[in-house]
Amino acid sequence: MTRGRIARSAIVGLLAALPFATADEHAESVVLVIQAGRVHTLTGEAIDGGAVIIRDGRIEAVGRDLSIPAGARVIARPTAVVTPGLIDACCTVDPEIPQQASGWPFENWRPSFWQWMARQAAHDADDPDHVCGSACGLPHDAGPLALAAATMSELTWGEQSSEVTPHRLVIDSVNLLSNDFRRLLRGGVTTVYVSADSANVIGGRGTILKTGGPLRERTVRRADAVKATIGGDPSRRGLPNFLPPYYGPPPTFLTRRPTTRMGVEWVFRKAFYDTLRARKGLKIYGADMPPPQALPVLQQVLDGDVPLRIQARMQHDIFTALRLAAEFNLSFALEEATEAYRCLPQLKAAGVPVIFGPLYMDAKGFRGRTDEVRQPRLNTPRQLADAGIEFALTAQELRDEEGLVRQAMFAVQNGLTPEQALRAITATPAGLLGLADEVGVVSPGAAADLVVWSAEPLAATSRPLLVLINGRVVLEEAN
Amino acid sequence: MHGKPRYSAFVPAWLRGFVVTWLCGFVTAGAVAQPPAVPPERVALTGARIIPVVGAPIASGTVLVERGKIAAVGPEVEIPYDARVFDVSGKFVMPGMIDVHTARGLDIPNESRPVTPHLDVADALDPSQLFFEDCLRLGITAVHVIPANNTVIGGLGRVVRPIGLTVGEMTIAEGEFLKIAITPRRGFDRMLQMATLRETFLELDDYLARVAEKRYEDKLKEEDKQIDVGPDEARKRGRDLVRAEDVDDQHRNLLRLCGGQVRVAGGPGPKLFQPLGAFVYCGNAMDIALAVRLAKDHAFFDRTVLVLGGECHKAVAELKQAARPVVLPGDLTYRATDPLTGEVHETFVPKKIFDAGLLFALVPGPDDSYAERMLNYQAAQCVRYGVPRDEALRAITLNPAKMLGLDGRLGSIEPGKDAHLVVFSGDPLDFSSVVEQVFIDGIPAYDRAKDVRLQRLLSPGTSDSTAKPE
Repeated sequence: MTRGRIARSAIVGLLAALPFATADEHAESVVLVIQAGRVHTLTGEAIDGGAVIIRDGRIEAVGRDLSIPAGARVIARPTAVVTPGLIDACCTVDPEIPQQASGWPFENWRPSFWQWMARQAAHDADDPDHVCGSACGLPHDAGPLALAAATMSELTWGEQSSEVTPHRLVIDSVNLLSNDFRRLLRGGVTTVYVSADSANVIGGRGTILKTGGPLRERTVRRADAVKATIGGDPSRRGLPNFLPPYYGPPPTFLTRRPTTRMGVEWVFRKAFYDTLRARKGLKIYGADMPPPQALPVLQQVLDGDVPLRIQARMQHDIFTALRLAAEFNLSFALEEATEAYRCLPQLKAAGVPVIFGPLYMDAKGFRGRTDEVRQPRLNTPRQLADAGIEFALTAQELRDEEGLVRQAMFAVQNGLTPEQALRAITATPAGLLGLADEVGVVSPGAAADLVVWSAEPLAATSRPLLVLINGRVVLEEAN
Repeated sequence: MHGKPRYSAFVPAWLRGFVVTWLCGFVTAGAVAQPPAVPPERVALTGARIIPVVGAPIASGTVLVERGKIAAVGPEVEIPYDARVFDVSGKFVMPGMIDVHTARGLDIPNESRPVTPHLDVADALDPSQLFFEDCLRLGITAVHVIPANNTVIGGLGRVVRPIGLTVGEMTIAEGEFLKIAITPRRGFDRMLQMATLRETFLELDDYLARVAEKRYEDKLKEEDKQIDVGPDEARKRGRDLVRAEDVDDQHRNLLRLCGGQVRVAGGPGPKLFQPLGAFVYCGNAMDIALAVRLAKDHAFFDRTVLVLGGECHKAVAELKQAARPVVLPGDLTYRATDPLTGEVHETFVPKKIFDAGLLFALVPGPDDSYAERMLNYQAAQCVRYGVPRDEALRAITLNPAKMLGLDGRLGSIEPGKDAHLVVFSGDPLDFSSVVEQVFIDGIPAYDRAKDVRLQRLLSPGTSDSTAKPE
């Protein structure tokens, strides 16, 4: 291809893109007014019979008795309630990507690799035919070794090539066209922090996304906080990545490290210790060395330029997180925090914000298989509020009837006030994501991310009628 | 006193204190103390905001219960001097909710054999299951326990209350319904499922014919006659001779399902049993037509309740034509992925069924869900998507009672009905309301303040402010 032809095709491409671009600009400059029965601004009292004026994707004014600009498109929902778009500060997107090998028998006895081989050999001796017939493509004696060659990248959001991977970005795994974003939108969630899962001690960097609108406007922050995990998850999770499910032996020091809580804590400490050494120009060495690409990111974490999240469920894991943070003078936000109610004074003293959740009757999925959720309390959000600890609520991978707004509803049933609960899924997570006054509030200057609900948002009888992101209607329900 | 065995007579003195302590411990250890089997004479709930389900709500009134039955309801009810009064001022009282179709409470949901009409869940009900305790906690006062859907013909169900130490004590009504599945059980395809069902009914006909023939031959023998008629004629002559005790366990319930009347060689014989109904499970839209045909062919259509899977809303025209009561799936929103675009389409099933004018009942969602396992939340979801409030409340109380043929006893707060009452702290459709008290047949069966398991989940932690993370 000659240079001229490249230029020509580029011009054609530009021309093709032009009409859409102008149409878009036009759409944005339209002024939109939403009139509702009540507006929860989150910056002050709720406004009854208020209106929100939106210009160029931003909120221009909110209040009662506003004069409607000429030519504005007015959406009048006199019985509806407006809130800011909800924010999940610790979302796991795409639960259809299984977070662990399906069918991995965590509770049951699992044969080790060698036991499996022995059983297979015995089976083959009895029955010389393949279970899959005569021609399944595999040689008759392929055995598990051939299968083990395949790694399963779809099994986890935690990159498993190293235990310390803060240089990997979760955004690279996100499918923006996933149905899961629609599902989040239907629940009124407009901004999510997509978190790496808990398979690594120090995992990838999460990303902040809007759940709807044009793809080019979805990304709020490509690389956000580094996720670390204290507890049993890093030693239990991600194991099948080494060998396909059912073929792998239980975790031992040969296949997996760390294998204990001690090991998890050690990997965390070693990573930051090595970062400090590297900063001084000292050589780093020994087992469990962080990869060299991780060091600059950990450096930024130490400097406070990149935020840190630590997931811990049980009391002693939360204590470990607090201890490690104190050791390296790190500030962090605590995720999940099932047993936060057992360490309220310590969390308060350390000034650690908590991203709590989800609330459940019986923990499902991977969480249910950990031994870390045996002592939940339904009223932990209330206890956090009473202790004066800054907290947000999260639904993580749960959706629909257990999604974010329902989590807030559960919290209200267990003692939180509706105002506190609404704040914990809007303004507070916005602040924790460093987006205060940008999202999570209905106030002049903020992005026009709004949800129009059929009734009070935390009522069981309420549903989103209309969802706006950056002033665009991204979900609308008839009637 | 004379003649009654005395405590001191059979417990040695040194052991008495221990026995008393042990008994007390036993009673209080459970989250919900087992109530006495005999209901108290009179109970009055005063100052309540009453949702009677039938009739207009009462802003502040009294429910008077006498010997387990509702004696009076209204704003002005005279309270007898000896009534035990519960002041529930400002709280909502609604009829106990009814779980109309569940296999919970059984040790195993289905037998491993496909055709088991002779089974009765009464043999497998475990009164000590935590499920029943959960029912109380959630305000469910009547449960229709019936074999699950992985069957061809399951056994008899039974309506029980979630209190009592034995199945007899729990029973509200003996089984009136057999379980039939149109959706194939595991390992079956639809052809085999339907063939097995047809074969079962054919076998019943054959069995009755053989019994009739045998009866006729026996009669001849008794009368010492020797008349040689063909088997067809013998069956015709013998069909009026079939007696109830001739029909074995396996066939009795099938015969009852078909109406209880013997039919041999095309003609009617004696009516031996009371008829049974059927809960017919249709997991897919295509099953509705098959179910209707089967029920009509075997004369139990008028006693059929259809248990629907999510996809069945697509057959709403057939359902409307059949006009039989339907039990909706626990997951009220049906989600289907468009195979072409990959988009997910949602349908809120109860709204569609309500618009079709069908009698429908809601069941709790999965066990491990926080909200959906509450029937009042299921009803609130219906209101969310446009089902009128009264209709949503009926779908968890009166409608299931009607389906079970128990609307004379359950499902509303009316004089003469069984006193199944739930006291909510607020409006039952408002999720911040909680079940505070439950009365079953006038027995105070549940008190939130004494619910040990729930109170544990709501207790503060043992935060030690002096402990350091070190």
